[in-house]
Amino acid sequence: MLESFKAVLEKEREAEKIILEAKEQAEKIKKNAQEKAAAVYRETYQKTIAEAKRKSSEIKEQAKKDAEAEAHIFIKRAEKLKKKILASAEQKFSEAVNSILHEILS
Amino acid sequence: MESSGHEILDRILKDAREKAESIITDAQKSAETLIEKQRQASRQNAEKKAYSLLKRAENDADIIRGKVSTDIKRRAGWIVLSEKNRLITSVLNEVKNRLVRIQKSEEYVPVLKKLIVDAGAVLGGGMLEVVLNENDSTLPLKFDKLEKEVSDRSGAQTQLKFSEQKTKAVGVIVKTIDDRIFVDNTFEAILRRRERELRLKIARILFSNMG
Repeated sequence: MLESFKAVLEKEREAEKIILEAKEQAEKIKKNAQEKAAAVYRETYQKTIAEAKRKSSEIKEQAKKDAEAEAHIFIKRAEKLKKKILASAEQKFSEAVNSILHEILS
Repeated sequence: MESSGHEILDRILKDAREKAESIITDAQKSAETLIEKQRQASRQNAEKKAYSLLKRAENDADIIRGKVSTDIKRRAGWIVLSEKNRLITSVLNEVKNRLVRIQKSEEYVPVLKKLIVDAGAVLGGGMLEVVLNENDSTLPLKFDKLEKEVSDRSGAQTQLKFSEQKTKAVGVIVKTIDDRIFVDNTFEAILRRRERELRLKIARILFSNMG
């Protein structure tokens, strides 16, 4: 009977040890989780901000490209108009000279 | 009895192992929950800042577009305007050349007479001196006729005389005898005086159909 009692006590001690070890392991898991959570917070934050910064640069770069493309069209249009002006002015050059001479001399 | 004793002992260990497993499982679950919560909190906080970064980028993009657009419109306008100016100036240069050449033509004397009369009328007649260049001093200008025209236009008795002073320009300078007032009717001065108005007239002729 005493033997049996002893055996029970021994098993209970063993059981307590198992639970204690589990509790210690659980504590470790929690502690690791807290450290990991802080790292996850940092990483997620940095990743989201980095992505936003990348998108911001992309938006500005695209705006610049669009504006330059528009600029190119404007300049081409102006160059075309310049040629038209030159052609028209060449035709009317003599008329203009004679008209101004007449204006001054008459 | 012996086997039931063994069962009790096994049960004690089995219960303990189950409890231990449950403790660890709970810890793992709460660890995962904690990490996920932090991940979400971080994402929420970062998204607020990310939104303001993107908003600022959109504003900057609008500014960039506006600035480039303004610059380019200015540049395009300048291309057209500078070409127009160049063409107007070339007309004026040709006018200057033709005015210099006119000095040797038949039409010059009547023009010079007209310039003298105009200047005399502006001065209001009276005793006036006519300043010419060396070449023009020898031209048959018949001052008596011109004096009458100035008198008629100004309503004041007019007398014209050649000045000893000479100009290098083509045209005439007429001044009062006391040297106080003069009218510069050399072609150079006329063009200078009327440049703005003439440039406008030239522009109207050259570009009237351009829109």
